[in-house]
Amino acid sequence: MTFRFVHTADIHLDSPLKTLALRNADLSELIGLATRRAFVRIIDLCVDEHVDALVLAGDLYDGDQTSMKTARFLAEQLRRLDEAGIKTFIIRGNHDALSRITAELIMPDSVKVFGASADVVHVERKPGQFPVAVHGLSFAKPHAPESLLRHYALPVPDAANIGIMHTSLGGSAGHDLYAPCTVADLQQSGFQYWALGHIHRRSAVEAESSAIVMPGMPQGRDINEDGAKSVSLVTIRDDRSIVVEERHTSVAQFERLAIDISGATDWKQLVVDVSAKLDALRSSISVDHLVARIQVTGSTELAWRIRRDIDLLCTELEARGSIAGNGWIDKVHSACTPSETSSKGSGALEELTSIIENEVGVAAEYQQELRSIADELRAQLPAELRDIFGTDETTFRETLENFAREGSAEVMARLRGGEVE
Amino acid sequence: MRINRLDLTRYGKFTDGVMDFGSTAPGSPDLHVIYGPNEAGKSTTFDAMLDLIFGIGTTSRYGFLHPYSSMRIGGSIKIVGEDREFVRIKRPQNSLLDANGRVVPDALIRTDLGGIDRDAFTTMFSLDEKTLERGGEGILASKGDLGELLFSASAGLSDLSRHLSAIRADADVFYRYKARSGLLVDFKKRLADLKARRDELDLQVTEFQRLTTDRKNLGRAHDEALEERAATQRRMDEVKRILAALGPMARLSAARHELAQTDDVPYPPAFWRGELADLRSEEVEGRVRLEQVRKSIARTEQELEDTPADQRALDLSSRVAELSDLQPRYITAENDIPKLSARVAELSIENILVQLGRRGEIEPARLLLDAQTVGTLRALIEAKSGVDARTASAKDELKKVERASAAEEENGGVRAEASPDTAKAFEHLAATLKAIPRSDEQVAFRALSRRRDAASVAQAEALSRLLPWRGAIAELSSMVTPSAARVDQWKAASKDAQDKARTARADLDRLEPEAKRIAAELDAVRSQVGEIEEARAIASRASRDEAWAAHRRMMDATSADAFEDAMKSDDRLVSQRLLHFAEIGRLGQLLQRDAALRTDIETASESYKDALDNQNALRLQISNKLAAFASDGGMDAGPFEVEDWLRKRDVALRAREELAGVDQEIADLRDRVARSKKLLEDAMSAVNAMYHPDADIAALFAAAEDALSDFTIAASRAKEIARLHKELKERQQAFTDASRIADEWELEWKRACDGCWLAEPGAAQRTGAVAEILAALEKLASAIESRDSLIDRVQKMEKDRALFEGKVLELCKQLSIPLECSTRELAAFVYERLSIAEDGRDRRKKLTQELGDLRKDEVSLTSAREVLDARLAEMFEFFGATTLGEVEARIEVSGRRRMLQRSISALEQELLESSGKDDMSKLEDMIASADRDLLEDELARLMPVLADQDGRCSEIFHLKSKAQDALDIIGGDERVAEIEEQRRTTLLEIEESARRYMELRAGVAAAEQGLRLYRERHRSDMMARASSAFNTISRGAYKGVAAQPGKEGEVLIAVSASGGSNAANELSKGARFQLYLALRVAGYHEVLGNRPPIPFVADDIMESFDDFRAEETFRLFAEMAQRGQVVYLTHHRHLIDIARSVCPSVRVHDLDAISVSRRPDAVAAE
Repeated sequence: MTFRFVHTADIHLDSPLKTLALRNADLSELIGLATRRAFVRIIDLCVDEHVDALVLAGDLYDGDQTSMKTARFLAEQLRRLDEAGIKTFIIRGNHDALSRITAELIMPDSVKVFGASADVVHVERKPGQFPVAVHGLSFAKPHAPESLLRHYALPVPDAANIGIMHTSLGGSAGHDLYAPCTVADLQQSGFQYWALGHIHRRSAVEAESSAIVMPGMPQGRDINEDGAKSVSLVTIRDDRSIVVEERHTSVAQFERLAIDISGATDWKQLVVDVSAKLDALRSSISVDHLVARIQVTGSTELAWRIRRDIDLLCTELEARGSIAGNGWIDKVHSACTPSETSSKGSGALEELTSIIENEVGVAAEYQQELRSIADELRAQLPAELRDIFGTDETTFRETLENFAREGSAEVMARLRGGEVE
Repeated sequence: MRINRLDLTRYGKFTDGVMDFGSTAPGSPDLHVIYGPNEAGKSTTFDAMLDLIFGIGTTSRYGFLHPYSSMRIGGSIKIVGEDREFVRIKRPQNSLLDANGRVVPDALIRTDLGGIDRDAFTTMFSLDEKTLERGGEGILASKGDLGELLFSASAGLSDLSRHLSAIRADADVFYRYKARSGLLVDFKKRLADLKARRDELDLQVTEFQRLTTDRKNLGRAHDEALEERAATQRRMDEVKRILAALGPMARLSAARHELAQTDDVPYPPAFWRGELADLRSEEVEGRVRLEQVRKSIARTEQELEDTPADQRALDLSSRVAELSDLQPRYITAENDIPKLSARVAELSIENILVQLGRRGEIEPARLLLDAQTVGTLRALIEAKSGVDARTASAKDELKKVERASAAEEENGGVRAEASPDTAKAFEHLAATLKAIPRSDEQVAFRALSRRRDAASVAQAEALSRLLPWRGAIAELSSMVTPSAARVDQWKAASKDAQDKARTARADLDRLEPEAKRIAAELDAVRSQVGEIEEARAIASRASRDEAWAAHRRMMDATSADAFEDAMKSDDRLVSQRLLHFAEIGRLGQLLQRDAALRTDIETASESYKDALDNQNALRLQISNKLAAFASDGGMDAGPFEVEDWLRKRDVALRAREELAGVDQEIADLRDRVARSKKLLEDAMSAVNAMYHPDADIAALFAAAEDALSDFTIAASRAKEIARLHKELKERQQAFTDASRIADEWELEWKRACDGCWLAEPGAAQRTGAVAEILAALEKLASAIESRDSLIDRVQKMEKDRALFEGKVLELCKQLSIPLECSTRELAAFVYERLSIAEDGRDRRKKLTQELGDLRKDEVSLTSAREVLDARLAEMFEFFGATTLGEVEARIEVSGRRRMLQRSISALEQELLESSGKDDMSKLEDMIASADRDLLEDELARLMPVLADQDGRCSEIFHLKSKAQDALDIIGGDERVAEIEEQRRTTLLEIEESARRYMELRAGVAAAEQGLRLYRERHRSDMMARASSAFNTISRGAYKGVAAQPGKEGEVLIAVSASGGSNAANELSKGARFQLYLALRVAGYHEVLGNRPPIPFVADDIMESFDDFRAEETFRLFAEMAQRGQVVYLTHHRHLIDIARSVCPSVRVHDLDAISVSRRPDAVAAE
């Protein structure tokens, strides 16, 4: 008799999506609370597939997640599993290491939350079925600079051994090191399946004798967590061979879309072109909702118009996206440059542009003015946003330079308004 | 950009009009002047150029001939160095077509404009008076930011600062310094709201832990409190039970004791106890009633015996009833007989007889008179007073007349009446007097003579006014005078001549000094110019030509020299003339003016002279006429004087007529008086009246009136006497009649009295007495009648009385009643006897009945007594008692015992139940050991303890429930997560808006600083150009323009040649327009500095410029036309000359010509 389980990690339950698309109240109805919805889907998957267990490899919540409502929700969902006779194995990761909300909950008996010291659970099996041992160890603190592998017990002989670990493996870009260890170490450990967590992008190493799976998160929360998101449905057959299936779970999927619009001369055509690209992307993705960040590039005589009317473009795309069906706009960026033909405006504007670019931009007086504007505004922002202009002098200066460049371009684009139309 | 050709195909008044500007000639200025008088379509052409480039406005005013749908303009335009054909139709979009009718983008035709829109173009390069001024004011209103202004002009951005302000405003929507509203504020408020909502809904984990612990502790505390409270409650219940049992136990003991004390007796049947009382009362009642019945029987028997029966009285009862019927009439008679007798006596027949004077009359009825006699007497009495009055009156009248006659006799007796002739003469006299008017001639004469004097004086005065004419008054009327029409004609002619003379004089007064001035000026100019008048030039030219002709003929050295001299002399003259061209022109003008003046003066002089001549001729004519009717007049011959004299003559003639009228009136009056006097004298002679022959008319009047008066008095006296005689006769007759009637009445009266007792001796016969007797007789008749009736009634009553008395006596005899008292008393005895007898009979009947009833009662009472005795015997036997009292006592004791036994068992039951014990003996032991006071003290102590424990329990329970509730409300719902998501989104929005804000602010700041730099760089060039242009246009009156720092930036000022400076609004209109134009010229050069050329069009903007300035302006235009196309529209023809003088290559287009020219291919293309 096989042993089947669903493996997921990094749920970050009730961690909100971070996109301006949610300004649209309708959309917020559709894709709001996506982490919750994705979690419900995972539970549904377990129930529908009649699996034996659900494995949660850390970071159920964000560390600052302290609402008991979240815990209650979690408990309710786990109770559904309990009622279906499915066991749950949970370890804590760096984010929920110190979370107290799980401790306060009364979990059904079928739920095992591993503690800060390694533990082995022998899964109850019917007579004649091969034994299954689940090993787990929770983060005791948000940081774990050392490898945790050595704390795990040796594999139980004759049993199918499943290890649950929260680790950054060898470390990957954008992530600090958490409980580092190598794939090779894991392969040599004698475990049949390593259920990992921590890295939000999926990766898996499947060999004949073992499988090491980092499932990624089930629901991306912002444009930096783009791409398709999934969980693993794992089957250990009687001959101990392992089949790992990837199951998509996300409600909304973030995608970046760069569109070259060189040569576009007509606004309407431009909108049609961009919409077409968006539609193409949409139809290539099977998720319920697509949230796209669009960047238009290339050299076009519409460059100024696009810069000036970027919000108009965004609105038009939003309208078309919603008509086409569940395609939403996170943001529209323009990186277009004016084409040769359109740059010949009046001499005066050219001269002014040149003055701004070459003389004003570097003038100390101007820098000072910008700085005071930024300081004044920063003082008025909510505490959470005090750092948006940068946390140190270098980034602050860079940010201001960026503002000056973009702002000048925008203002000049607006002044050219009469010409373009 | 250049307009090569403008097609006014269907636009305004134009149909197929073509304005061909031709092509440019290299090196030659592209300057065009379009000439057209008013209404030729100048403004239409001006606007057509704009409409071709920028489109026809939605409400164009040029759709009056060709409707909007068919409006069409077109032309050939040079764009980016290439000539292209365009057509513009009126349409909201796609209104620009190419030569083949295909739609082309608007941007194509405007390529060279580089973003200059219609407003900017109109402001800067397409000027009419309106836009020149409005744009100029715009420059002033820009508050002197000349750099920006020039930038706007050259960049085609008409309102740069507005754009920047708008961008800045966009940024400010998010956040503005110290503003209380704005997006950022809203966002922050939303964040605060979200946080508040979250706090309300959510339960954090720390709070959760606290609540869980609380709930656990409270649960334990609650259990403990409940246990304590239960123990207290139990003890309290126990004490209460013991206390409650103490009372019943005492009652139980008492009952037991009492039962032991009572005797043991048999228990009778239960109903006996109730029956006993009935038996006792039955026994007593039966005994008493029997005794009473027996007593009543004896008493009734005795009474029956005592009651007698009177049968004799009862037998007479019917007769006694008859008697009672008769009794009322008896009583009436008894009472009324004496009263009626008295009334008979009272009747006053005796008195009446005394009145009648017949006292003692034995038979009064004899005195009564029959009705006829009474009627006759009464009629005579009534007539008597009339007869007497008539007699007396006739007598009086007669006496009165007799007295009057006597008086008249004394006064002279009878006079004969006047004869009819005499009377007629007097009537004539009276008529004459009435007919002659009694006006006062003297007064009339005096008034007339006064009027005559006045008229005479007036005539003399009127004559004197006619001086110097001295003729007699009669001559005046016979004069032949000129008619009024003629005089009016003279007057008009005279006035006309005077007016003409005055006008001519005024002209001369004006012209002569002018002529002198011109002459002086001529001298002056001549002295400047020298002898180079036109005449001399012509002469010189003629002599040159002559010399040339001579030379040609001769062809020798001399002739050549002569020709050369003549040539040189002429050249010199010509060059001199050229030198003094202006003065020569002036000289020509002066000469011309001088000649004109001289002619005018001559004309005026002639007209003046004519007028004077006319005047003199008129005077002569009048003099002649005057001589015809007033030769010796020596009067003035003027028409007005003549008219005046004629008026005075009329006055004199009227005075003369007045005088003649008065004289006539006086003569008339005298005649009238003489005639009256004659008539009067005749009439007076007829009546022989006396009068003085010389008496005047007034005296005659008096005499006539006197005579008339005397005659009238005499006539009236005679008439009076005749009347008196006649009346006397009538009165005497009347008196005789009256006396006869009186005698007849006396006879009648006597006859009437003789027919009755009045004729008897002693009876009065005078009318008054008889009247009284008649009244008394009436009373007597009535009295006699009453007396007879009364006597009859008394007799009837006496009969009733006798009948009653008889019957009474008879009854009394039968009833053996002694007859010793009055009838009435006897009757009463009879009635009483009958009444007693009837009462006795009724009483006996009733007593017999009662006795029967009593005997029946006695029998039933006796049998009841026997039943009762048998019942009592039974009870006595049961108890072994002998009296009813004993029986009663025994029954009472048995009842008491039964009650005690019942209450003992009830108390025992109650105690067992309340104590919860099952054994009475144990209970008795426990209660025996209980102390009531101690138990009550304990209970009192326990009660507050229980209350405190109660409060504590519910308090802890409440806290526990609250903790439980707080835990229970935590659901797994998503509301908090939703709020968190909204908060995250809001933060993201703020971040995004903040970035955008920073970008916009940075951009605006960069643009502002950039603009400052740009301005500084370009300003000097522009200012220099504008200054130079202004200096040129104003012909040096102004050095140029300068920017001067003002309150709100720089202020543009004009710098005059003398170095003074004026703000633009202080300049004259002409100078201000020149300044505005100078700025446009500078702008044009500035714009063309870095872009392809564009046209400059102006529509008659030089109205306020003088010719010299216009010339300078054209010079600037020519300079501009070196770089681009310049088109000037005007209706001043002289400007064409000025333009030509400045720029010989200027192309002039006549609008009148183009409105008719057609383009065959254009027509064919349609």
